[in-house]
Amino acid sequence: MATMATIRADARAKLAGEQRYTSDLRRPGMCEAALVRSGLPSARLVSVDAARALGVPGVLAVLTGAEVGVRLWGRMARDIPALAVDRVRYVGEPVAVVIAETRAAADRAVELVEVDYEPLEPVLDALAALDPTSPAVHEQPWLYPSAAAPEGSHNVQSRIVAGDLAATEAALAASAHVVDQTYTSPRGHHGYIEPQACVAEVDDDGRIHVWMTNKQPYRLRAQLSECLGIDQQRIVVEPVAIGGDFGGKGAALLAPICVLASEWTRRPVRIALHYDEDLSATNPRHGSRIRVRLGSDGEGRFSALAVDAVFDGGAYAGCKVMPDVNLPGMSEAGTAYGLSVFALESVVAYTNSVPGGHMRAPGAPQLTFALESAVDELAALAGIDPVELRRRNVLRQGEPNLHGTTWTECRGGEVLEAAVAASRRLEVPPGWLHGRGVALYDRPNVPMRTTLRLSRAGTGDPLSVEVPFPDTGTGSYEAVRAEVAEQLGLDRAEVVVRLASTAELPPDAGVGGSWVTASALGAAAAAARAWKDGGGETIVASGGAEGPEVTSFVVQLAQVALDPATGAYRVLEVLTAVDSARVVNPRAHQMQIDGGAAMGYGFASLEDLDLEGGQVGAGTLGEFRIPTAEDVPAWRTVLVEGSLGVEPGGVKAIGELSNVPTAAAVANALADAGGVRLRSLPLTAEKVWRGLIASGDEGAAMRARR
Amino acid sequence: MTELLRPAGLAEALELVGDGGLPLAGGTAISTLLNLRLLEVDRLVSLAALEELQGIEDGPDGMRIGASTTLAGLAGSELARRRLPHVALAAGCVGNPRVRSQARLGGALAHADPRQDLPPALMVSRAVVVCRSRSGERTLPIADLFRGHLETALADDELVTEVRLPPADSEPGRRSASGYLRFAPGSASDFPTVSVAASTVVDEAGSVVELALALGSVGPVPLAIETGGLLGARADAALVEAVVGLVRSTVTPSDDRLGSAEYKRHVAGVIAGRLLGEVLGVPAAPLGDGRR
Amino acid sequence: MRVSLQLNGETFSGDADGDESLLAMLRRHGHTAVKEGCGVGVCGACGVIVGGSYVSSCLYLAGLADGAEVWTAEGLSRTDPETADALAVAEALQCGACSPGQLVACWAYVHLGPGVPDEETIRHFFAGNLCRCTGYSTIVEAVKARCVAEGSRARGSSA
Ligand SMILES: Cc1cc2nc3c(=O)[nH]c(=O)nc-3n(C[C@H](O)[C@H](O)[C@H](O)COP(=O)(O)OP(=O)(O)OC[C@H]3O[C@@H](n4cnc5c(N)ncnc54)[C@H](O)[C@@H]3O)c2cc1C
Repeated sequence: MATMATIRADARAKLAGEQRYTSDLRRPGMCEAALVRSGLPSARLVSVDAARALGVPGVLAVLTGAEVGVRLWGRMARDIPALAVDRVRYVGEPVAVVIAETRAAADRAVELVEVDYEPLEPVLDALAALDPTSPAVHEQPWLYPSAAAPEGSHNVQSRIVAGDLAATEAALAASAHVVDQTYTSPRGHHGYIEPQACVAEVDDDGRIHVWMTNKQPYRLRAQLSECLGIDQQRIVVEPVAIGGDFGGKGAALLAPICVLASEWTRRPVRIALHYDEDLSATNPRHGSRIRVRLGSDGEGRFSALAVDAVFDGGAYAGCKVMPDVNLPGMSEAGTAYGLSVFALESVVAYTNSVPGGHMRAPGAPQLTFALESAVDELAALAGIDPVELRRRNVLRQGEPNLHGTTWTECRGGEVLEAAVAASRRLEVPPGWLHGRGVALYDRPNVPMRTTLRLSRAGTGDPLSVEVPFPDTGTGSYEAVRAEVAEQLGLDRAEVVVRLASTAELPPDAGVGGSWVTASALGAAAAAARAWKDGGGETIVASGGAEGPEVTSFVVQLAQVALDPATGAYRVLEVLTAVDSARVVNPRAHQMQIDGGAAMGYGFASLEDLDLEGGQVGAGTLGEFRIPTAEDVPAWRTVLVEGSLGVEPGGVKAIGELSNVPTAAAVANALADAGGVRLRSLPLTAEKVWRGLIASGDEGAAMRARR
Repeated sequence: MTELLRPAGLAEALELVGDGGLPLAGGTAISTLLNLRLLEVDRLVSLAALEELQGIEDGPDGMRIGASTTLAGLAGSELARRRLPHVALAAGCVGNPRVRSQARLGGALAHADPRQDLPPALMVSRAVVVCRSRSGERTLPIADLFRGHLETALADDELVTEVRLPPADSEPGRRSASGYLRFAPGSASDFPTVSVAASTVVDEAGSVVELALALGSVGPVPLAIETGGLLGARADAALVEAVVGLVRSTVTPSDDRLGSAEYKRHVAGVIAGRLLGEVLGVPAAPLGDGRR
Repeated sequence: MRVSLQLNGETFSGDADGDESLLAMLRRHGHTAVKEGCGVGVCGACGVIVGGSYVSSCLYLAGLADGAEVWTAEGLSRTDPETADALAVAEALQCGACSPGQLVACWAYVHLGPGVPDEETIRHFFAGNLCRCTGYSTIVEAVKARCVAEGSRARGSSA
């Protein structure tokens, strides 16, 4: 089996700054565009006056929605206009695009475009939006193509229900202990370092070439085709590296406008967002409000679970990709436990705010914060240690989960024990309180297929492997390189992996859902076989995860030191124990775990992209704090080895595990330390302090008041 | 179109500023505004390289720090670390290494964001700001420089050229001490929710003869606490307790993303007490953030 | 205005507006080893060395670099391959958007100070270099290794 001892193929180019990303590209004759954005959350668009903007030297054109018409795009539901027409629905919505010779000229001109609005009453809160008396964000959202909004509903992007509510109510009523609590989390940004950008160019044959910060080139092509009414074969999404994704780089976003601008000017056009625009107007994680009701018998065995979630979907549903236009993580509610009685409702509401999109295990971090906090609250009610309560309830080998799936292998219990066995109590400074919290999560692997093309220009040339999925940095290219080399008995230095344009390979799902490595290894095996059979001719071969269907358990233990006088705390350590099968590249695997936990820590303690006065409050990456090298806890990892992987590669997904339970583990640790139960993220020092004062713990409350 | 001017000397700079140019020190604050497309400016006058604004010196009349000293230079200066350890410490807390090597003392003062680290530290050392325009020079006690949020007492044509500090207390038997503490519980790289600087002199008998305390992030300007009523008291836990109460009754914070007014008021008391306890050697709750 | 400088050891001359950042000017002239991230000096992706000091090129006006020596990741990875090696060997990167900045930071840490292989000191310095991928452990490890190598060479040459 291939393992990797050598240096990643992309390392030196990336470190030296040679790797080209979208905003690094410069096409001959290229001009630059910048967006005029709505300053109001809800308004009628009366007029756009570009006269002064057009007077700025270097400005070529200003396009408005009135000129380009209603051009709707979406990853599933198509409800997002490329440029607003008649109506704006969130602060930051593109109203016009300024095209100029330089970015500076475009930026300057943007400030001079005068937009006349007739303000409308906005609805800024998801729960308020569901009240039928609130203003409607869209008149009849169910009419949009591929919409999931129920006909006649009010501000609903999507509503899914599952389980049996009546049975759940009955079981809860009969339970010895019931927790009934509501948990909230704010909107959140992916925090990738590369802001979103797009370059579009129309060639002499009328073909449109697009380079974009987008991890799903074929789906981008489809989105553009639908939005602009252009045949897919006329659109080529060209290869380019991606500077961080985390789920945020899957929507078409700037692409339709960029293509329209390029068609208008007959020149290549680049739009590169400033980070402040990216924060306020791309496709952040959904804010959530999740009510959990969890019951148990006298011994703490779970009897029933009801989850009632409301997500803030923002002004448009089009940045979500599932057919139900909901968040896929919701289907994981309660699956980690032996539970058969459950009820789930998940509603995504339209509000006058930035449209919500996918972010690293979409829905799961919000849900798991709620659920795993509730499990600890139940532990407190039942007088059972939180680890012991999970031990009694974690899904067992051979036991079906609440969807009726019985996994071939189910290692929740083992992973939990491994985490507990590895945990050592850490010291805290004198006068500070110590706390430890646990949280657990399981996520099924998503089986997918992909395609590779193998070719060799001439003897002595390296073997070229073209892939249809971009490099978002995870190390997937290195896995492909190693696997192909191994299978063909080549040295890894003889194999080069590169991204193909969409003109070169059949449609592909691209990057997402932690499926890339497993599907790429499957495709690599198939491609290697075909290559051997083909005797050196160029081959195109598809393959993918062949099963078995597996799930992965992850358990985190967080330890905190809490200063009772101020509520300030340090997360001293996050210990992650995870189900693991064959690890292709130990470092890349470890960085998925560490980087995920860092993201989980940011979600737990720091990050907040909620609105202030109708617009995203954090104006810069200095205000939307993502964890720094200095802030992060110490990471510890326990790989619980020997798990059953997905064939043919024998691997398990790792990208969307460690970021999920962290917030609950930290919240549970704070509860353990100071008796403070916080149900609203982020867990700021001030909230802890208020919690200490309100808590029953007299000693802690006294110190907090001093 | 913006003009960027790089005068060769202070006199020329004063002329250019007098003619309406905007002073540019390190440019970290100005460039932030430019990048966020919040500032348009016709003429920038760069002060960073001016010979007259460099240097950190000590003498019988006190210390002088040139306005174009970088924050990194201040944080790393042997002299500053010996004479004004709390000022060097505060300078070393600002932002990140790149900000510190670019931003200048003059810019750090004229920027006048009440959350900044340096002003409280300089205030407790009775710093005096030297301001020049083409029509002359004046000196301002540092507290008088700050007029409001991002507002100073500087006239449009006036430059901060240096900061002066009085000579060290050299009376035999007295013990001087100082400190700076910032409370930034979310991220160490963020602006502090509240910060506090203290400088004290205790005589042989254990009585406090000098007590200066200033806080950042507790109002529109950095705030010096009036401590006259406490002079002569013994340096003990009761004094620390009294200061905590005094701080809480004096500060006027407001709500923002870093915390509510109520919380900042509370924390101001806690960290003022801790810092003073440390500076006076009076046992109190430990400093620090729990990492160590 | 005309800006002439030594870029990675070579003569560079280009035009810039008075309020244009060094970052924008370099990138406009094709020097894309300097990456644009946050635009407000916190992320470090645009870190460069100007006249021997380590700054954010997004906050540094192009005109002020006139006459100065400017080094970016492109040049430093060539003149100091050991720094690039240390980061590559530790696999201290994923997507690469922050990587040129991490390299410049590592160079600055080693050559301009503090230069000590102490974890806490490294983390404090690198708090100005955001990375959303790695969780930072491999970066810290790489910087430590680079400092140790530099330290042992310094000891070796002085002995
Ligand atoms: C990423 C980042 C993080 C930060 N974090 C912190 C932090 O943690 N703590 C903190 O305290 N601060 C922080 N700051 C703010 C920082 O302190 C200021 O940006 C800096 O001190 C300004 O100094 P400068 O030399 O760059 O000023 P400039 O940007 O050059 O100027 C600032 C203002 O002062 C005026 N000015 C400059 N020099 C003079 C002079 N000699 N006479 C009269 N007027 C003058 C200018 O016209 C301008 O109005 C941070 C800034 C950044 C960019």
